[in-house]
Amino acid sequence: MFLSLLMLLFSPASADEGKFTFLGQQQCAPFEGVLFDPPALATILARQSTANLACQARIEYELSVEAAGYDLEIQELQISLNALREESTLMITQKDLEIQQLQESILRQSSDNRLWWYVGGVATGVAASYGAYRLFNE
Amino acid sequence: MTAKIVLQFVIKNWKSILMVLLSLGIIGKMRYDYKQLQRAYEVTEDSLKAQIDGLKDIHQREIAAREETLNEYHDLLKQIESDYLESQDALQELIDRRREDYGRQFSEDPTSLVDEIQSMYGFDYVP
Repeated sequence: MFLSLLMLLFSPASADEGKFTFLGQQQCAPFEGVLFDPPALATILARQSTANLACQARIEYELSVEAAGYDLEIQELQISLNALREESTLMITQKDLEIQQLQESILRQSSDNRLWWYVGGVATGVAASYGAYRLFNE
Repeated sequence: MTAKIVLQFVIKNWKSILMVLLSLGIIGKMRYDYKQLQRAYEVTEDSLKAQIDGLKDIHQREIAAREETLNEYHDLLKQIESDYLESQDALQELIDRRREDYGRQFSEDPTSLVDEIQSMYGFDYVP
Protein backbone atom coordinates (compact mmCIF):
# COMPACT_ATOMS: atom_id res chain seq x y z
CA MET A 1 0.00 0.00 0.00
CA PHE A 2 2.78 2.33 0.98
CA LEU A 3 4.61 1.41 -2.23
CA SER A 4 1.62 2.19 -4.38
CA LEU A 5 1.16 5.47 -2.59
CA LEU A 6 4.80 6.39 -3.25
CA MET A 7 4.49 5.42 -6.88
CA LEU A 8 1.40 7.51 -7.26
CA LEU A 9 3.06 10.49 -5.61
CA PHE A 10 6.27 10.34 -7.59
CA SER A 11 4.91 9.08 -10.87
CA PRO A 12 6.09 11.22 -13.81
CA ALA A 13 2.67 10.97 -15.39
CA SER A 14 0.16 13.54 -14.31
CA ALA A 15 -3.33 12.72 -13.11
CA ASP A 16 -4.67 13.48 -16.61
CA GLU A 17 -2.42 10.83 -18.10
CA GLY A 18 -4.14 8.15 -16.00
CA LYS A 19 -4.01 6.30 -12.75
CA PHE A 20 -3.05 2.79 -11.71
CA THR A 21 -2.86 0.65 -8.61
CA PHE A 22 -1.83 -2.82 -7.51
CA LEU A 23 -4.38 -5.47 -6.77
CA GLY A 24 -3.84 -8.42 -4.50
CA GLN A 25 -5.26 -11.89 -4.98
CA GLN A 26 -9.02 -12.09 -4.41
CA GLN A 27 -9.12 -8.32 -4.09
CA CYS A 28 -12.04 -7.90 -6.50
CA ALA A 29 -9.88 -9.60 -9.14
CA PRO A 30 -9.18 -13.18 -10.21
CA PHE A 31 -5.42 -12.73 -9.79
CA GLU A 32 -3.03 -10.22 -8.38
CA GLY A 33 -1.94 -7.55 -10.82
CA VAL A 34 -2.00 -3.94 -11.79
CA LEU A 35 -5.13 -1.92 -12.44
CA PHE A 36 -4.97 0.92 -14.94
CA ASP A 37 -7.78 3.38 -15.38
CA PRO A 38 -8.94 4.04 -18.99
CA PRO A 39 -6.76 7.16 -19.52
CA ALA A 40 -3.65 5.28 -18.30
CA LEU A 41 -4.41 2.36 -20.55
CA ALA A 42 -5.08 4.70 -23.46
CA THR A 43 -1.73 6.41 -22.83
CA ILE A 44 0.11 3.10 -22.72
CA LEU A 45 -1.53 1.90 -25.90
CA ALA A 46 -1.10 5.21 -27.70
CA ARG A 47 2.59 5.44 -26.79
CA GLN A 48 3.16 1.84 -27.81
CA SER A 49 1.36 2.27 -31.14
CA THR A 50 3.39 5.39 -31.94
CA ALA A 51 6.70 4.05 -30.67
CA ASN A 52 7.83 3.16 -34.18
CA LEU A 53 7.05 6.62 -35.43
CA ALA A 54 8.89 8.20 -32.50
CA CYS A 55 11.85 5.92 -33.09
CA GLN A 56 11.81 6.68 -36.81
CA ALA A 57 11.73 10.42 -36.14
CA ARG A 58 14.64 10.11 -33.73
CA ILE A 59 16.62 8.00 -36.19
CA GLU A 60 15.99 10.50 -38.98
CA TYR A 61 17.06 13.32 -36.71
CA GLU A 62 20.28 11.59 -35.64
CA LEU A 63 21.05 10.52 -39.22
CA SER A 64 20.46 14.05 -40.48
CA VAL A 65 22.79 15.48 -37.82
CA GLU A 66 25.47 12.90 -38.65
CA ALA A 67 25.03 13.47 -42.40
CA ALA A 68 25.35 17.22 -41.91
CA GLY A 69 28.53 16.69 -39.89
CA TYR A 70 30.02 14.45 -42.56
CA ASP A 71 28.95 16.86 -45.30
CA LEU A 72 30.73 19.61 -43.43
CA GLU A 73 33.87 17.48 -43.18
CA ILE A 74 33.69 16.64 -46.90
CA GLN A 75 33.21 20.28 -47.85
CA GLU A 76 36.10 21.35 -45.62
CA LEU A 77 38.31 18.69 -47.16
CA GLN A 78 37.23 19.83 -50.62
CA ILE A 79 38.08 23.43 -49.72
CA SER A 80 41.48 22.32 -48.41
CA LEU A 81 42.07 20.29 -51.56
CA ASN A 82 41.16 23.22 -53.80
CA ALA A 83 43.39 25.55 -51.81
CA LEU A 84 46.28 23.10 -51.99
CA ARG A 85 45.77 22.70 -55.74
CA GLU A 86 45.77 26.46 -56.19
CA GLU A 87 48.88 26.75 -54.02
CA SER A 88 50.60 24.05 -56.02
CA THR A 89 49.68 25.71 -59.33
CA LEU A 90 50.84 29.07 -58.04
CA MET A 91 54.17 27.70 -56.81
CA ILE A 92 54.80 25.83 -60.04
CA THR A 93 53.91 28.87 -62.15
CA GLN A 94 56.09 31.18 -60.10
CA LYS A 95 58.99 28.74 -60.09
CA ASP A 96 58.71 28.31 -63.86
CA LEU A 97 58.75 32.07 -64.25
CA GLU A 98 61.72 32.37 -61.91
CA ILE A 99 63.61 29.66 -63.79
CA GLN A 100 62.85 31.34 -67.10
CA GLN A 101 64.08 34.73 -65.85
CA LEU A 102 67.20 33.17 -64.31
CA GLN A 103 67.90 31.37 -67.58
CA GLU A 104 67.57 34.65 -69.44
CA SER A 105 69.95 36.20 -66.93
CA ILE A 106 72.44 33.39 -67.43
CA LEU A 107 72.18 33.76 -71.20
CA ARG A 108 73.14 37.42 -70.89
CA GLN A 109 76.41 36.39 -69.27
CA SER A 110 79.40 35.60 -71.48
CA SER A 111 79.60 31.99 -72.44
CA ASP A 112 82.13 29.65 -70.87
CA ASN A 113 85.20 29.97 -73.20
CA ARG A 114 87.91 28.72 -70.89
CA LEU A 115 90.06 27.38 -73.70
CA TRP A 116 90.02 30.68 -75.57
CA TRP A 117 90.72 32.58 -72.38
CA TYR A 118 93.69 30.32 -71.72
CA VAL A 119 95.04 30.63 -75.25
CA GLY A 120 94.44 34.37 -75.28
CA GLY A 121 96.17 34.76 -71.94
CA VAL A 122 99.22 32.84 -73.09
CA ALA A 123 99.36 34.75 -76.37
CA THR A 124 98.97 38.08 -74.60
CA GLY A 125 101.73 37.13 -72.14
CA VAL A 126 104.05 36.11 -74.95
CA ALA A 127 103.26 39.25 -76.92
CA ALA A 128 103.72 41.46 -73.87
CA SER A 129 107.03 39.80 -73.02
CA TYR A 130 108.24 40.07 -76.59
CA GLY A 131 107.13 43.70 -76.80
CA ALA A 132 108.87 44.54 -73.56
CA TYR A 133 111.98 42.74 -74.71
CA ARG A 134 111.98 44.72 -77.95
CA LEU A 135 111.32 47.98 -76.19
CA PHE A 136 114.03 47.52 -73.62
CA ASN A 137 116.53 46.36 -76.17
CA GLU A 138 116.00 49.48 -78.29
CA MET B 1 106.38 66.10 -80.17
CA THR B 2 103.45 65.29 -77.92
CA ALA B 3 103.25 61.76 -79.25
CA LYS B 4 106.89 61.26 -78.44
CA ILE B 5 106.37 62.50 -74.91
CA VAL B 6 103.38 60.16 -74.49
CA LEU B 7 105.33 57.26 -75.92
CA GLN B 8 108.21 57.94 -73.56
CA PHE B 9 105.76 58.14 -70.67
CA VAL B 10 104.17 54.85 -71.68
CA ILE B 11 107.55 53.17 -72.08
CA LYS B 12 108.68 54.49 -68.76
CA ASN B 13 105.46 53.56 -66.89
CA TRP B 14 104.19 50.58 -68.85
CA LYS B 15 103.92 48.39 -65.79
CA SER B 16 101.80 50.89 -63.92
CA ILE B 17 99.62 51.49 -66.98
CA LEU B 18 99.20 47.74 -67.45
CA MET B 19 98.33 47.35 -63.77
CA VAL B 20 95.74 50.12 -64.01
CA LEU B 21 94.22 48.64 -67.15
CA LEU B 22 94.09 45.15 -65.64
CA SER B 23 92.62 46.53 -62.42
CA LEU B 24 89.96 48.36 -64.43
CA GLY B 25 89.21 45.17 -66.30
CA ILE B 26 88.91 43.16 -63.09
CA ILE B 27 86.75 45.83 -61.46
CA GLY B 28 84.54 45.97 -64.54
CA LYS B 29 84.16 42.20 -64.54
CA MET B 30 83.40 42.14 -60.81
CA ARG B 31 80.76 44.85 -61.22
CA TYR B 32 79.19 42.93 -64.07
CA ASP B 33 79.14 39.73 -62.03
CA TYR B 34 77.68 41.62 -59.09
CA LYS B 35 74.96 43.03 -61.33
CA GLN B 36 74.14 39.54 -62.53
CA LEU B 37 73.97 38.26 -58.96
CA GLN B 38 71.80 41.19 -57.99
CA ARG B 39 69.57 40.46 -60.96
CA ALA B 40 69.24 36.82 -59.88
CA TYR B 41 68.47 37.93 -56.33
CA GLU B 42 65.81 40.35 -57.58
CA VAL B 43 64.23 37.66 -59.72
CA THR B 44 64.08 35.31 -56.72
CA GLU B 45 62.78 38.09 -54.50
CA ASP B 46 60.05 39.02 -56.99
CA SER B 47 59.09 35.38 -57.33
CA LEU B 48 58.87 34.95 -53.55
CA LYS B 49 56.83 38.14 -53.19
CA ALA B 50 54.44 36.92 -55.88
CA GLN B 51 54.20 33.55 -54.11
CA ILE B 52 53.48 35.18 -50.76
CA ASP B 53 50.81 37.46 -52.27
CA GLY B 54 49.25 34.51 -54.06
CA LEU B 55 49.28 32.38 -50.91
CA LYS B 56 47.69 35.19 -48.90
CA ASP B 57 44.95 35.49 -51.49
CA ILE B 58 44.38 31.74 -51.56
CA HIS B 59 44.24 31.55 -47.76
CA GLN B 60 41.79 34.43 -47.55
CA ARG B 61 39.52 32.75 -50.06
CA GLU B 62 39.91 29.46 -48.19
CA ILE B 63 38.96 31.07 -44.87
CA ALA B 64 35.95 32.75 -46.48
CA ALA B 65 34.83 29.44 -48.00
CA ARG B 66 35.25 27.69 -44.65
CA GLU B 67 33.20 30.35 -42.86
CA GLU B 68 30.48 30.10 -45.50
CA THR B 69 30.43 26.31 -45.17
CA LEU B 70 30.28 26.55 -41.39
CA ASN B 71 27.39 29.01 -41.56
CA GLU B 72 25.56 26.70 -43.94
CA TYR B 73 26.21 23.82 -41.50
CA HIS B 74 24.76 25.81 -38.60
CA ASP B 75 21.72 26.78 -40.67
CA LEU B 76 21.23 23.15 -41.65
CA LEU B 77 21.48 22.05 -38.00
CA LYS B 78 18.87 24.63 -37.04
CA GLN B 79 16.62 23.36 -39.82
CA ILE B 80 17.08 19.75 -38.71
CA GLU B 81 16.35 20.72 -35.11
CA SER B 82 13.27 22.63 -36.20
CA ASP B 83 12.05 19.72 -38.34
CA TYR B 84 12.59 17.33 -35.45
CA LEU B 85 10.66 19.54 -33.03
CA GLU B 86 7.85 19.79 -35.58
CA SER B 87 7.80 16.01 -35.95
CA GLN B 88 7.74 15.69 -32.16
CA ASP B 89 4.77 18.06 -31.99
CA ALA B 90 2.99 16.09 -34.71
CA LEU B 91 3.78 12.88 -32.86
CA GLN B 92 2.42 14.29 -29.63
CA GLU B 93 -0.76 15.30 -31.44
CA LEU B 94 -1.04 11.78 -32.81
CA ILE B 95 -0.54 10.32 -29.33
CA ASP B 96 -3.24 12.59 -27.96
CA ARG B 97 -5.64 11.61 -30.73
CA ARG B 98 -4.97 7.93 -30.18
CA ARG B 99 -5.41 8.35 -26.45
CA GLU B 100 -8.82 9.82 -27.10
CA ASP B 101 -9.60 7.00 -29.53
CA TYR B 102 -8.55 4.33 -27.02
CA GLY B 103 -10.46 6.10 -24.26
CA ARG B 104 -13.57 6.09 -26.46
CA GLN B 105 -12.94 2.51 -27.46
CA PHE B 106 -12.75 1.51 -23.80
CA SER B 107 -16.30 2.65 -23.18
CA GLU B 108 -17.82 2.01 -26.59
CA ASP B 109 -16.13 -1.10 -27.96
CA PRO B 110 -14.16 -2.97 -25.27
CA THR B 111 -13.98 -6.15 -27.34
CA SER B 112 -11.92 -4.54 -30.06
CA LEU B 113 -9.74 -2.99 -27.37
CA VAL B 114 -9.15 -6.45 -25.93
CA ASP B 115 -8.17 -7.68 -29.38
CA GLU B 116 -5.85 -4.77 -29.83
CA ILE B 117 -4.12 -5.37 -26.48
CA GLN B 118 -3.77 -9.03 -27.30
CA SER B 119 -2.29 -8.35 -30.71
CA MET B 120 -0.06 -5.61 -29.37
CA TYR B 121 1.36 -7.40 -26.32
CA GLY B 122 0.26 -11.02 -26.68
CA PHE B 123 -1.45 -10.98 -23.27
CA ASP B 124 -4.31 -13.38 -22.51
CA TYR B 125 -7.60 -11.73 -21.61
CA VAL B 126 -9.28 -13.03 -18.45
CA PRO B 127 -12.93 -11.81 -18.25
